[in-house]
Amino acid sequence: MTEQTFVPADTENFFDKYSQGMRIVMEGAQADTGQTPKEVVWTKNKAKLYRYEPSKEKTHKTPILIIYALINRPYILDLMPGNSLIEYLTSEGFDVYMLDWGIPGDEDKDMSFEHYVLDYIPRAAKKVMRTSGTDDFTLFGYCMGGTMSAMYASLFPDTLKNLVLMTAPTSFPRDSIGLYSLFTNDKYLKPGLLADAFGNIPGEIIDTGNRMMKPVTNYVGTYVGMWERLFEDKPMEGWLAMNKWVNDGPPFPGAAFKQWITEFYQQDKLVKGEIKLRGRRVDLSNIKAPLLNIAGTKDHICSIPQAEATMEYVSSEDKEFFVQDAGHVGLMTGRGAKKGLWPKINEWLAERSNQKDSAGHA
Amino acid sequence: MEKDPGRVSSLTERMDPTNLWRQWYETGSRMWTDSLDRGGANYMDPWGLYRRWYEGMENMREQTMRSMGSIGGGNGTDAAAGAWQKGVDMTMENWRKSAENATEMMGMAPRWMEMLDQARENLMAVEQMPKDPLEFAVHWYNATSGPYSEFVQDIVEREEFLEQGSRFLQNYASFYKIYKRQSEEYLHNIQIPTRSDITRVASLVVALEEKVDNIEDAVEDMGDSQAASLADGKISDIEKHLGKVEKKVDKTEEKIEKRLDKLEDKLAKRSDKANDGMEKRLGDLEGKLDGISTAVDRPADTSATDGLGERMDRVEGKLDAVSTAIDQPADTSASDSLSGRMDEVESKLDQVLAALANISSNSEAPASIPANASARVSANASEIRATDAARRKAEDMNVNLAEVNGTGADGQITVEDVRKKGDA
Repeated sequence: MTEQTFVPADTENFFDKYSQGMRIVMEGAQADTGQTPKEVVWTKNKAKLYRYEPSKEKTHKTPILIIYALINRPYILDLMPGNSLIEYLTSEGFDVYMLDWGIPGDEDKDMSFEHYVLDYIPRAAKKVMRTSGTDDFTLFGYCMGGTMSAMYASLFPDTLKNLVLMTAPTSFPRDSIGLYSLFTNDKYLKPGLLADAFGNIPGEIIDTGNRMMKPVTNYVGTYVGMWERLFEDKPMEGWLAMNKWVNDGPPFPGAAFKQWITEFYQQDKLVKGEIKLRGRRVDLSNIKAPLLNIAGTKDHICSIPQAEATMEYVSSEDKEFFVQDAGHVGLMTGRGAKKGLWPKINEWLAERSNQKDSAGHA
Repeated sequence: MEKDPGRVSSLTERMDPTNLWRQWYETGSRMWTDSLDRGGANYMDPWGLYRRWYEGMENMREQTMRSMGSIGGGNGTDAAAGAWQKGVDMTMENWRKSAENATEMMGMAPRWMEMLDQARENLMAVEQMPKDPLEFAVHWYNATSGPYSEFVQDIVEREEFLEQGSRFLQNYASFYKIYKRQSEEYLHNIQIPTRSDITRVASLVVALEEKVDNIEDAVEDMGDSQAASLADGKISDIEKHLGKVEKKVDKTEEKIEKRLDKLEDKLAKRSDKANDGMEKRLGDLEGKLDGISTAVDRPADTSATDGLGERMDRVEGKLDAVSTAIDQPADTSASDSLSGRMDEVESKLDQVLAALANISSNSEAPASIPANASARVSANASEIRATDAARRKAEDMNVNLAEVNGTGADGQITVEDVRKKGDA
């Protein structure tokens, strides 16, 4: 029988790793994220529209515009080389754009969905089509960005070639939104009061609300995973990038926060056709473009019924509800995504995107 | 307006954020204390549960690290199992204390004990004893996080937790708002630009940028619409127009060439007709002259000749009589009369000759009219008979006229002949 001791074999190495781990815990994760080459093709206020690998040959003519949520940073879609949906789509010959909302300042506290859906996205869409020299484009919305994309698609269906919604809630029934039904209940949450007090709702408050959906996993499990990786000499880059992203939530503009909680979570107005943006009614049945609707069975931020509801309301004849056994973020990053979701998106879009002609002209 | 210095000083003191913060902290602490007192528990902060749990883990880790020295020299597996058992006991003890302190008010004690039992079961079910602190912690987390998560979930969903969390958040928001406003006023009174001032400037910049962006959008739209109209309609319209113009030019060129050909043909035909006419007239004249000549040389009417012979005989007879009379000049009047008649005959013959001469000259004169044309034609004929247009065309199309068969008048080569040859 081999003799074992409970003392680490390499004490020096043990304390090196311990100090390394403590540094991450105390100072926060540092990682190089969003490394796919890109250029800024348009800016408005804090928002930036990126075009990825502009000089790379695009075999698919129809450009893709990615819209992300207001409450997290969009570099989750371009987390790190080898673990980036944007890098993958670009390498598959797609012309990829992403609208980064930026970090709102106090002067942006009155920004609402009217601004985002009626002013920013249409303008970004025009820029995309103008830059790529096309008459239509694919809109790719993730999380709250998907909800905004669905609203845009309802109001501006003409130039929409395809619509991809990923973990995008459009319905907010109280029996399907888990703990959010309690957290956002008007008995406990007064969004107007918070918006009035803070202007922009601090990212920490939003983050706390999300983490409390699975407090033990989020507050403890994450760091257990970190120690495990450190001591087993597993690659840390992925963990660091993800942890950086998790703790990098921007403030939520007060007006949009108030709308999001009141009109969506508390009143579930979108699927009822009761959302009005500057008097324009958002009717999901106006969506006729081909739709790929993606959801994760383990997603506790956007549950399956919240995403699936979209299928019932849109008029698209070509529509598919694609479900993966993954969570809200895990759905889109990591090994599972590379083997499952990414090839699916690639295949679905390739079939529905205009191709370059044989002469190589766009 | 000048402010009362005493009033400002009082305001400033009252609005000093540090004072305000202290006041809020005291008020907040009182609120929590009151809340706990009403609940009859010493400690009710929902986060306390989490903290106690985490402290339990820390204590366990420290105890384990301390115990390493004492067990380091023994059998590894036994030592690990011993440390694990010790750790579990310590954790349970800590959590029991937590339960005594924290869960009474919420009535969560039974649930807490249930969670402990599950955690203990999981912890003791570990088959492979951890061999180092990390493995120890991972096993510990894996064994306890499940039951603990469920317990926390139960707490989070409870009215008491939500109510307290909501009150805390609202209280914090209200304080933040008051604090912010008081800070703004305080800084304003001591003439220091505030965050609101910066925000106002930023808002102006954003509004200005919005206008610039709108202008850019409008300009782009204008450019797009022009480009689009050019691309979609006008260029194609222009192309259509150009195509039409090109066709018209082609047609016009063809028409001009045809008309030129026709003109050439007409000219050729007219010259041919003129030639024919002249030739015909010449022929007629020739016929008439021949007729005259024949008539002169060989009178067709023998009776006339006979008559003329008789007349000549009579003239001879008369001439004989005249000669006799001359020889015997008996009557001179008769010879005068004959002489006069001879003059008349002579004059008539002169007239006939003059007429013949005139006819002859007239028969030559018309022939001189087409002389140039016929000279040209005959000159061309000696080389290649082709119209000028055909020659230009031949030059343009690099066609050798010698190889072209003329289909025009008199075998003249026309433009069409050249084109056909060129196309062939």
